[in-house]
Amino acid sequence: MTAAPLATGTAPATAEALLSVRGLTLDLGTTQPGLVQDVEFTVPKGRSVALIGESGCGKTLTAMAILGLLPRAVRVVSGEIDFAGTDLLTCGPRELRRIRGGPVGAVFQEPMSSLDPTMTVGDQIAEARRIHFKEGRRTAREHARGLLDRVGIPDAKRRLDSYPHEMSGGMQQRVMIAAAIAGEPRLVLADEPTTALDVTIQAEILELLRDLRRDLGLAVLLVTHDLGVVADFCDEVVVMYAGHVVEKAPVREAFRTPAHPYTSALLGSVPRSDRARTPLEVIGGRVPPAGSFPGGCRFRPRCRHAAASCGEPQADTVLAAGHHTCCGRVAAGDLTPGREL
Amino acid sequence: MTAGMVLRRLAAGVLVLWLVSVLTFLLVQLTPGDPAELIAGENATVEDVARIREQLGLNAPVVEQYLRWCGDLLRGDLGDSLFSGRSVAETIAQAAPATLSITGLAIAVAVVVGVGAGLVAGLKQGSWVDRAVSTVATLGIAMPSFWVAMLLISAFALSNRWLPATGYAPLREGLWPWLSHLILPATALGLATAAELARHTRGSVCDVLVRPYIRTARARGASGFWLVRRHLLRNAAIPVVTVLGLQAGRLLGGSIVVEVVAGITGLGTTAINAVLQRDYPVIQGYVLFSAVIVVLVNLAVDLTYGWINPKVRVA
Ligand SMILES: Nc1ncnc2c1ncn2[C@@H]1O[C@H](COP(=O)(O)OP(=O)(O)OP(=O)(O)O)[C@@H](O)[C@H]1O
Ligand SMILES: [Mg+2]
Repeated sequence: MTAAPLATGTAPATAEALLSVRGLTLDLGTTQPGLVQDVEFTVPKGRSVALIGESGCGKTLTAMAILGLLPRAVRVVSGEIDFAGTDLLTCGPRELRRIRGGPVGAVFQEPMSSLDPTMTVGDQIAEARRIHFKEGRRTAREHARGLLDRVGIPDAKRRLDSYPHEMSGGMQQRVMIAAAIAGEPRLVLADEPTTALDVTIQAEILELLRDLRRDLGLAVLLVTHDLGVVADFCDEVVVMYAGHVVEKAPVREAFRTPAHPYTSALLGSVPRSDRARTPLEVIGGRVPPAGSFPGGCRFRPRCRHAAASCGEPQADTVLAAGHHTCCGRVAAGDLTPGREL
Repeated sequence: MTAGMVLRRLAAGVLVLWLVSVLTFLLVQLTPGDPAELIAGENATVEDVARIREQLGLNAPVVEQYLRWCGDLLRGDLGDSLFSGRSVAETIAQAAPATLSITGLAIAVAVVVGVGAGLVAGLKQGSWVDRAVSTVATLGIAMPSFWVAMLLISAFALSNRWLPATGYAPLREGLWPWLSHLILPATALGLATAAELARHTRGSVCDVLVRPYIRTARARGASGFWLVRRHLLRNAAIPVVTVLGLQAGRLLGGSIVVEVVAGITGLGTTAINAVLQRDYPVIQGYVLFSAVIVVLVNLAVDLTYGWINPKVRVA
């Protein structure tokens, strides 16, 4: 294969998995094809994995399935989500509650609507400590103060008693992060943690996440649209399109030798010097609505390289250690991985 | 809620009371024809009319009449009843406890039953409990309170003699005598409000449950009672408190009907008699007193609202 040899600093494919999602399929309990279909990926201990793809690709649903917080309408059809030896899909509500906010923390997109408007930020940060470590009010509050300090909020002691609406968006997101790490997690799911923020604030929040990751040895699953963020922050990338994982690769490889036309199109649509905020409009067309995914490769109708064989189900092919594609034409050698794919 | 806000609300309340006082005063002035003659009735002698006119101070210019009336009002003198001759203040002071007890208890019943049922229905959305609550709530809103009162009295006081059918016992005669006379009328009065609150609570709970901050709380491990108490209740209560404030005034007025059915002499019956007899000073006193209560209730609602919703506090 033409894939470049692993560059220094990328994840060895053999790193021990902390989270592994296998064959995850979600639907609405109707006959339409899955919103998320046979999704597989792993997050190794202490590593950072990006989940990227256009709006509506199923990134949030995948993250919510891990937390056991899928919307009512969405049903788990099959799959396994193994977190440190526990299958989160079958373990039952009690075990899930132990894991949520404890070993698995979560940060969401809109800090303003994701923080409880009627609760002080101190109480919200302290909440995980009180639930998971059975700490009393005072101890938990002391911890919350330390966490506010840790996420870079000045005058932490006074800020504990603020309400979310009294803070800026960037500060709110810092509070969200403080609350997410309060339960001493090993894995943090961050669903577009910077999308709702100003560009300068985005950089600060990413910087904070990077520091925390290093200091706490956190593994991170980062859902994002922003390829700049992926390049900066992540070790590996999982590309989703219309509910399918189309490519998985160490970040450098994905950028250098993308092995799926969709990944290539994503990369092509964003000149690396310029961090466009809506990168994907350059690809013609849009993600089809969930009910009308085509059979075979779901990207086929928008793909420049589509051929008759693309209408068949596409198998997952390993190109190099840790580099998977589900493009049959790449697997067959018709197409050569690279940015001009 | 800051002291400044409380003061502003108080000022607004005082303004409302002043407007009510003007309207109440004009009530007599705007009566078509000569109010004194109207009050005296058809068979009154000329002396009667003159006496009433004198009593009402109708001979002086309007502005002077108003100022005098206000002066008396501020001293707590609402005049005397044209019929019993007792002071209006005394008449109202005697009738008020029964009515305020019924209304207060009706609010308590409405809050406990309505909010409780709405909460359960919202939490168990789509279940049979939810459907049952919806059905009963629709019925509860549709049934007139006098009819509910009659049903309750016939079931609990006449068929089974568990509770007294009519009358009122003041609180100083003991908690149970007081309560036993009030349970049925207060339940009848509060039922429609309970139904209204149940519907609003359910809607509000459903609305809050799908908010992102509830998802965040769950993602922190919050669940069950913890989630309800710390995240759901406060947020869901915000619109419900507003509804409750609107209902409180309605209950005070609605008390008239159940008082009549339950044979309780309260403000409602006093007001009806005053209207039938055209006893203007008593009517004025009733209107003013009701306005004071409604203003106080609204003030309490505003304060509660500010306490529940931190966004209001800094506004
Ligand atoms: N509660 C729901 N009921 C029905 N369909 C849903 C529900 N939530 C999500 N979907 C559908 O599932 C698909 C994937 O949604 P998801 O939110 O995971 O996308 P996403 O990749 O996170 O997109 P975005 O970048 O916009 O956040 C979408 O087509 C969406 O319409
Ligand atoms: Mg999303």
